[in-house]
Amino acid sequence: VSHLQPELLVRAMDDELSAVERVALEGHLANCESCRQKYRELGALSVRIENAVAATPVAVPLNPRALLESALARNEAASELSSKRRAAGTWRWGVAMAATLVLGAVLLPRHFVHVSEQGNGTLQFDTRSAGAGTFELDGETFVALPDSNPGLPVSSARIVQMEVPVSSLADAGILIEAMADESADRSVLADVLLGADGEPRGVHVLSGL
Amino acid sequence: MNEDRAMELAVAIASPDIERRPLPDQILRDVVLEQYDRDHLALRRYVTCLGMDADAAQDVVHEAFVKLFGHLAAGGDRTNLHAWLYRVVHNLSRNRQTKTEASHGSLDDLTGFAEPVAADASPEQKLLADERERRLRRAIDSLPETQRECLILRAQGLKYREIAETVGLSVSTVAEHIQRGLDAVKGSV
Repeated sequence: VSHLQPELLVRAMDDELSAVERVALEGHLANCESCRQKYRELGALSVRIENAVAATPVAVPLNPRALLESALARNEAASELSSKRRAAGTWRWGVAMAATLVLGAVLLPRHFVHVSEQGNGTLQFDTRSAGAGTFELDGETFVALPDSNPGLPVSSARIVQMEVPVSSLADAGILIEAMADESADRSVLADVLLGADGEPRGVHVLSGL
Repeated sequence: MNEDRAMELAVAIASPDIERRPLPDQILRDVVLEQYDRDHLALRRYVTCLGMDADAAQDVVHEAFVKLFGHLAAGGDRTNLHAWLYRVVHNLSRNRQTKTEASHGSLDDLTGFAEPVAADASPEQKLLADERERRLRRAIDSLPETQRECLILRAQGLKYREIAETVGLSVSTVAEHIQRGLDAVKGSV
């Protein structure tokens, strides 16, 4: 006579059997005193273990709920402070970026930019300074900024696309031919290349006219 | 707590249609505190059975509830917070034991009486019951770590799926550990 596996008996006790397993087990137990005895022994042992665990003394500090409430309050205050700092940091970063761009634009040498429209609608430019103040990166021509460090590495991952006021470019000496006279209050879309030191190294005007 | 508030919390925890909706902080705090009232003793008992002292147990259990607040605030799963807490407490206690290289915990170090002894039991019967008790605790203590964890979690009423999530094993492996653990304890007592 084959008997039930102990693992099956334990799972039966823990109500972890499938319906099919349950039917088979009950059918066997009804006719097998040996397995019924094992099942009873496992049940008794399980109760003893449950009692041993439940009887394990647990040390609880005085008023633990209040301790948790204070911990939650401290945690909330800390995350609120942290989120404010994050928000302030983002705002400061934005201001610093804008300031850097304006400063970079102000310190630009006076290049004269000729803008011409390409077939794909993108506006390209070159300078009248015969290439001395320009450099190529990923097929783009950038007007170099004088205070950047040309010795630092650059990468296309550090190109930021943004709207740059034409007036700022004009103040910095980059004159956009098509709009130099009448549209000084408008902006152009430009790629700004940042050097490894975080300072702008060059500007490539894309569109906006 | 009045009935309306209790109902509001129950809905906040259980309703599937608002499962991922962030709850207001006050509700979150109440949910965490309600859960704390329900579970903190069992969680303390679990880590105590694993050999953690009272101060460490306090730290671990409170840290778990602070994490629960963060979990709920982030819109985390609220379907079985009881099992979630066991998993976090288990992991925190393991990390702590790894850091401090704590010794194997012991139920035998703890006083307590697992088996009720009849009030009119003779001194010999009480001694015998105490001895049986000590042997059982020693048998549990001498189990391999995972078998012991699975048996303690089972004794605390967790389902196999919950135990599996807590200790990071499959349900079938948990069943195997429980059966082997029971077998070993039975052989020792």
